Amino acid sequence: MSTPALVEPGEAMRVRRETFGDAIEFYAPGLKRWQSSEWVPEKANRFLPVSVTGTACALQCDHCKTKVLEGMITISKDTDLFATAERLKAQGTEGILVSGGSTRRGGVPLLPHVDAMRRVREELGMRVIVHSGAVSPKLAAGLAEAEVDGVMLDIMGAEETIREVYHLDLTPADFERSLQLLAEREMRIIPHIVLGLHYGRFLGEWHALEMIGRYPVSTLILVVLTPLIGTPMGELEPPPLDDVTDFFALARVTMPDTKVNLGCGRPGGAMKVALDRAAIDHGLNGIAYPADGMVAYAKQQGLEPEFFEYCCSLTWANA
Amino acid sequence: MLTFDVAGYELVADRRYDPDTHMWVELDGAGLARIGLDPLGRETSGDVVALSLRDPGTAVLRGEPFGDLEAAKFVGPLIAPLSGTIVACNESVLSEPGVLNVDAASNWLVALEGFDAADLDGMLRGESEVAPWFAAEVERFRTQGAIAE
Repeated sequence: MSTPALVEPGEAMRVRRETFGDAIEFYAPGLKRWQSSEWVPEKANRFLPVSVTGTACALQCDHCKTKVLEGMITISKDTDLFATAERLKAQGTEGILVSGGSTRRGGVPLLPHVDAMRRVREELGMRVIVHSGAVSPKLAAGLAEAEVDGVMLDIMGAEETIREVYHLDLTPADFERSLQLLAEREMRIIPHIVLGLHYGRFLGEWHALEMIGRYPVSTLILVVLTPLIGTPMGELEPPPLDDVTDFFALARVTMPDTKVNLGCGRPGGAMKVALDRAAIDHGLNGIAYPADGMVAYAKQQGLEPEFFEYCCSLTWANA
Repeated sequence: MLTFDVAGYELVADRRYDPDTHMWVELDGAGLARIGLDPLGRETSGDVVALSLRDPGTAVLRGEPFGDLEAAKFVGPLIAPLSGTIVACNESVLSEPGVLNVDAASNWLVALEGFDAADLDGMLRGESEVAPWFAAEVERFRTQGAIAE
């Protein structure tokens, strides 16, 4: 896919209002302790991430180096996923994101835990969503059988990025195959696109969007490369703001009937404020952990804020 | 700087630690109290991205914000462990908040004077007081997933 034509923010907002009206959704999952001057969540541990691999990951991607896993709850031989969820439930947690490091084949090793996921849903009444990575037919079947509430996976549209950043011997077609497998099982698919993933520049993002557009996804989550301290990308600049906001508008009009949210992964400080304003201006449906002032800004644009204390992928749960 | 170790964390011996805010307080003996993040306050916040502090001259109350922190695992107000008037902000930390990721023990945030000595009563000092509390906090944060298990 070549670089597509620019979409004016006004057009993106028009498309958004036509399908979704004036509601804008703000999310505060329990992935970190967070509050702003406009919103203090009532229950910070309502939704928590659990890693099935602890801080281990075979890929050691250049943008993460397991840093993202460090803040997750870990299961161990003594406390399996069900026991961990049971403990969290007793503390008031209502849903979990089952995640973890990746295998050399690009998937999170979830299969040994699918039975526990089913039990967590059925016996504890908790919501369960997963980070799958690349999906095999067997994993798709297992997740479908467990009736997980949703499957989140990063979709990459450039082979160079998959190889150089993720150190994986896969191609974009393998990620499209994952979408296809999940769609065949009628799973709730929540694809993510990491904007600027190729060392701070856009490369496969347009192709990723094109692939995602071919499948019935529940919600598209856009996140922005955040150079993490202690990783090979730690000294990089985030992608240019204009490139990111142009992509917001493109995603909006490419998927006019699908909710498109700005996820929790994005740079902080002044760039976060600029990104969040752009997300509102370019017609996205929701923002996780909105920067200070964004609730007021959304109201100034004639939007009506709604607040949800869980993951921004759970848009179907809002009703 | 005399230190002691608790569950792999290094704590400075001649400071007070506030169990409510995870801040350390260092008194200079001349009426000045410097405040900083204790090792768990730092680690449970994750990598620091941005920091703002109230201006010198601002009166703050214990339990109220004296600044705001934006980090990988925490975004929100920095809560004052004692009441007083801010007389100085650490400009080097303000200009480069990332130094907190490397060394939060040496990098104080604000200095207060006119503080209420009664606020110090609830704080812990000395290894015998600090170590049991800190070890229990490490366990609590690990259970919650706020720090790696």
